[in-house]
Amino acid sequence: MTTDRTALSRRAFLGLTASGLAVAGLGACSLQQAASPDESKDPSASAGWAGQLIDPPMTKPDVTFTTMDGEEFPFVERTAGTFSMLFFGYTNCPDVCPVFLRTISRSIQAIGSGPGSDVQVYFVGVDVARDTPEQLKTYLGRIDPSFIGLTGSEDVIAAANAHLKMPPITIEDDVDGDGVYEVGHGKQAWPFTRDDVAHRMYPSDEVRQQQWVRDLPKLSKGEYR
Amino acid sequence: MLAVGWWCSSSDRAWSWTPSPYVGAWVILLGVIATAAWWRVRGRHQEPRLDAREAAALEQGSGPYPSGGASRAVAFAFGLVGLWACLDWPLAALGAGYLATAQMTRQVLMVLVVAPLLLYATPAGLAVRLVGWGRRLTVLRLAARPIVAVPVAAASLLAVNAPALVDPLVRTPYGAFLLDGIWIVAGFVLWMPVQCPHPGVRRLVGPAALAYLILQSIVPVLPGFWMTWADFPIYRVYELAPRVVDGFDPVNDQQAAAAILQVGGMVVLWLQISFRFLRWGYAQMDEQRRSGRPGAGGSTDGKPIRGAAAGAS
Repeated sequence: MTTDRTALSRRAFLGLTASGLAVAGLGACSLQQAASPDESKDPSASAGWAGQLIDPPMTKPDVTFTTMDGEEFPFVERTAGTFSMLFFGYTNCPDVCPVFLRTISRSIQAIGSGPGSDVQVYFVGVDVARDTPEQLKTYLGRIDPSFIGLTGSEDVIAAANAHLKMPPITIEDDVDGDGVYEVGHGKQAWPFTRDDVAHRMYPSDEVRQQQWVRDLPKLSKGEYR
Repeated sequence: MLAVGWWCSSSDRAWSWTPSPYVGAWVILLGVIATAAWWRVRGRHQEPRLDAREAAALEQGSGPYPSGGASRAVAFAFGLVGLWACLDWPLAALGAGYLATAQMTRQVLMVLVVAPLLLYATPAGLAVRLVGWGRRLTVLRLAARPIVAVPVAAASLLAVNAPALVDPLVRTPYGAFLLDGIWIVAGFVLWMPVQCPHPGVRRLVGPAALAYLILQSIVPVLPGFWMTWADFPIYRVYELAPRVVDGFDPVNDQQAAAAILQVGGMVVLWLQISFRFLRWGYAQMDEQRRSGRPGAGGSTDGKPIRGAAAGAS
């Protein structure tokens, strides 16, 4: 009887140990695999890239924005030969804009130095009434002071938006009691490489930090395939 | 405007503090309340007579917990409130789509607090009425064996924290329901070997129960470690969700969730381990005092001690 019980205990102990090790191993594998971004989420993304290949590449919009200091900013001229990221949004955006701006900011910090860390982010405030130069400065100062805010007349912004083939900007008429209204805008982020074109377009609300950290250095070095 | 859904899932919309109750959560809560009410009003007065087979099955188990009406009522009340907090807005909505911290709070609360409270609050008679003495008891006995409970609970709890499972499942109410169901069931399975209310199930008592719970306390270390030291946010859903608190970014959120799992979960679990250790220690001392023979505590036939010592289980 005692021998049976001892044998049972030994079997139970060995079983428990083996089960524990198996579970730990499976869990570790699962977590390891799962930490990789889900490329299948974006069917347009080709292997090794989170952004969609644009062929022929997209040229820069030839417009003159206004900077946060109120100065004119001819975009093509001022960004020629640099690695720049162009994104359209608005400072009262509750979801896409702050998530994208914080994600790209943390990604640049994670890259640290070298290729990819040299990207200059330009945020175009499309809600002309509220995205004043002062508001842009305050807003971007909270997120990343190295980002440059741009604005302009409705016509200038609409022309740039149309050039990039993004959906038209819509401003809702439904203003609530606090004066809050929503603005519809494209979610695309455009990385213009040093050859002054964008070879890839990124859906800003789907790209993760790990993917930016992988893609930005390659884009900075002129790789896009 | 009050929005009502059947179960919480992730959303691209900015977080709103407008209440949004979930029908599924309320159905579960009302089911638990209705069962308790039925037992209180009618069920407990219908004492079933055991036939010879059932009496033999009872002999194989640890018997019922010692009666503790008031403490059971308190455990039930706290368990019910905890269950409601886990399943309904705002914690469930935050956990499903916005903050890993909220999701981990739900899991720790459900697995380490609500499940043992509800199991403790379940009278043996009710467990017998629900499970019976037949095949369901066989399944329950199997689930209450540590060799089954450890891998099932551990694998389930690791799986529901794996981003490969979390990210796709929380997108829909059905997936989120499945995910929540897995860790709720895992929570009950985890406690079965030491807290099963059915008298026909042999529970672990004394050092065996303590060793079992200590073993279970190791499981949260793995996901907690990963979440703490990962360079990037590991969950897509929380990384790309609109921020609930400005400045509380996904990496901070992930590390806070790991702290809740490792520190909060450990504190809750070790409080219970300490409580059980003290109960067992005092029961041993009482036993020795009664027998008058130092070191003569415990049963000699390998069966768990009934009565006071069983109460520690």
